[in-house]
Amino acid sequence: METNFKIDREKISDGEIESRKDFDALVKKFKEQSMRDAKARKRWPKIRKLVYTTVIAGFLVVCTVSINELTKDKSHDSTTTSVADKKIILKDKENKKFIRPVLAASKAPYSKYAVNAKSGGTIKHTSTSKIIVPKSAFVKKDGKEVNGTVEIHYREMHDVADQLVSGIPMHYDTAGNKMHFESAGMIDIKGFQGGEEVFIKPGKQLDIDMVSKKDGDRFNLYYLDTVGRKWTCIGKDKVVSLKEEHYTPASQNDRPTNLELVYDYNIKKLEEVKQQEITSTDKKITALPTPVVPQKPLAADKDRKQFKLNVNFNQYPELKAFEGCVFEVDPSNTQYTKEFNTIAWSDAQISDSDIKGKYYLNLSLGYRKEKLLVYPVFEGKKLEEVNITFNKKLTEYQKALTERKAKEQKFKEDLAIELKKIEAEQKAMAAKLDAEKKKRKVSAAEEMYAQENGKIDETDFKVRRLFKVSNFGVYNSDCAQKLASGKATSAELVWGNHMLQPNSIYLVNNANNMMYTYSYNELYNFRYDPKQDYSMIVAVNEQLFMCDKDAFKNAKSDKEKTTFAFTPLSLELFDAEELRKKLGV
Amino acid sequence: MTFSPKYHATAEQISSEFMQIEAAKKDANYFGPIYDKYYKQIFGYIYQRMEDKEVAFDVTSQVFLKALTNLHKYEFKGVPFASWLYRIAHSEVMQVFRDRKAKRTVNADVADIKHLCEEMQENYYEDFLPALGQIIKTLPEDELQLIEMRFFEKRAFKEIAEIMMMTETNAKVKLYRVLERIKKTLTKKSK
Repeated sequence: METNFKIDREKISDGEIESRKDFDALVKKFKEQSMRDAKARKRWPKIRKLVYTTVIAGFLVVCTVSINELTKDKSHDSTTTSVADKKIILKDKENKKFIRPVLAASKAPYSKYAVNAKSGGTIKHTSTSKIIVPKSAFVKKDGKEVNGTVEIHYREMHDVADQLVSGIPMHYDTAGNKMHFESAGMIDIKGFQGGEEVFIKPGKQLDIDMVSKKDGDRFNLYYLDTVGRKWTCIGKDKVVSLKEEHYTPASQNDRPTNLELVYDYNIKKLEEVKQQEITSTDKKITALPTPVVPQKPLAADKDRKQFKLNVNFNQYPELKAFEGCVFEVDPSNTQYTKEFNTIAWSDAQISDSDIKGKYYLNLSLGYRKEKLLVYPVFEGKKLEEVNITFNKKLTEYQKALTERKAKEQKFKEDLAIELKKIEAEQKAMAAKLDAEKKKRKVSAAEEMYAQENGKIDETDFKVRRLFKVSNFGVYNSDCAQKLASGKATSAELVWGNHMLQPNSIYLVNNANNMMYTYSYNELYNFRYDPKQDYSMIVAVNEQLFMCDKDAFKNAKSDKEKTTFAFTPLSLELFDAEELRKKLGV
Repeated sequence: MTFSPKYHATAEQISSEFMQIEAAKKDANYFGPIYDKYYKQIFGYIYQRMEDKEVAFDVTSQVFLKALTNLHKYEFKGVPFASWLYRIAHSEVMQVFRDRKAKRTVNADVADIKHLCEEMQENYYEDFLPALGQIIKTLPEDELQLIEMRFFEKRAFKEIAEIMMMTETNAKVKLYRVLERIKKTLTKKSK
């Protein structure tokens, strides 16, 4: 369509627009048209008979031809000789319905639930999904509020088989790109009263609590616009863990089990043992003999005042240790005077001081008592002798110290090994305790959930998806994906020697339970990842054909095309359960 | 019956309009207030997309005739009646283009273009009007509608979403994607 782009066009005045209003002419036209339509409706019964006869006759001709062709094809297949070099094309009739199940006779039935329109209520579906209907939530098509019982028709689609059987389109066009939906669950909900459709009242919303096999919040919520023939993104659903959300700590099941108590006791006991081990090692280390550092002998300083003890060591053996040494007066003795050296003290005692290597020299004469801080020094030969002794003691000390350190280290290492063992035991016990707690929590949740909703199929459903709906219709929690990518080829679909030409082709990715829809024309640039498992389903004139994952992997390829071999599927295959088994999803 | 207030109407207004529509379903003469209320808006919408004002007036009459004829099918689903009328108007306008009775026209003021440039964080230059015109001409109809309604008709996103039957968020996302594309194309052209 050619488009003109105009800037600052002259405006039309309000007066001119007003002057062109002609409501009477509108009503007149409307009445004339209504009269014409009424007359046409009167003529319709007369020609209806003729039209119906023509349509039925045409239909019978088409059916006869189709049946003959299929019968002919099947007999050929069993003999495999008569038409060996000639391919018969089995072509599907164009079907432009928007919601188109894989077979017209496919059954994706609705579950029907009754709800009081006035008081509302909660509907529990067999999958454990819930629909919460508020009070006075429905109106009739004339806008009047609905009273009495409303019948809710509800169905859920969770996998490819459900989608194929329901026929709900699973592709989405965005910015000109065809995207396919990876669905985390889809619902189709309608309301009826006395066979007449009802609607959700403006301002009211139904709460949908749908169980889902796929967790994660990468899915958006889409609404299927059947008039516009498109999906509309309406936001995101809220994802809630199926099991733990329903756990109430205040519930009776919050009491720990006996096993939990045992594990908890063991963890505490192990902690005590750990502390005991630490204390015992500390004691052992403390008990180790601590070698005393020998005091290095000091050389006498001639400039300092000194005392030499003239002691009879036989009489005072306790002073023998100081034999041959002189005591120098420490500079801290402020009371010391030269006079001290001239007095013949009647008594002199050596006692320990708080300062290492220094002593108190207690002198007394009559009532006079003096206390001097002194330290022993040596001179001459005596200094050499004590130095030899000192060096010997120092060697002994160093040896003893090394031995002590080695023993201390050994104790510490033994303790570390022991603590590691205890901690490992504690960890294992804590893991057991956690598992037991979780088990109880889940079992409590399941119990509560089961009480409310029935049993959870824990192998399938992982989360609940919560959302609100203001209109009846189809809602889908989806993540849009591009067409399968990878190897590009022209795909040829065959059944024996017959070329299949279906209008709808479904490529199923078995790994992520996703379905891609193709038209026949798109097969000329057909892409798939050879590393993944796919199967294909097509329908030709109400006959299903399948290329299972083994046949798909073994498809013959040459430079130009890949030939996918199909086999007919049983015609009893009308429901999702059977399709699911065949697809292996 | 109560209604949720919408972007440009109170609950009472929508409620009273609903009564008028229900009355008009039974007797076309009650359609008068609705016709008066929306005539100018619908004409403005149509004329915005057409060159010839006479054709625009004809199409406007056709829209109201179609609305009256199909009024029995109208059901209140929470969106204002105006949105339903706009959808009829859009379909009629497109029919006129298909029948080649008129050419699709995009009408804008310089002020609108400046606003569009501001939104794209681009400086407005008179020189790039032709380039912008060229780009706008090549947009698909739904994208053109978004640009037209938002910048040239100054509609709220909520109203745009209701007319185009999409969510408000979707309308915003789509519009900003189109703007980004226009901006990129403009940059390429200016190089």
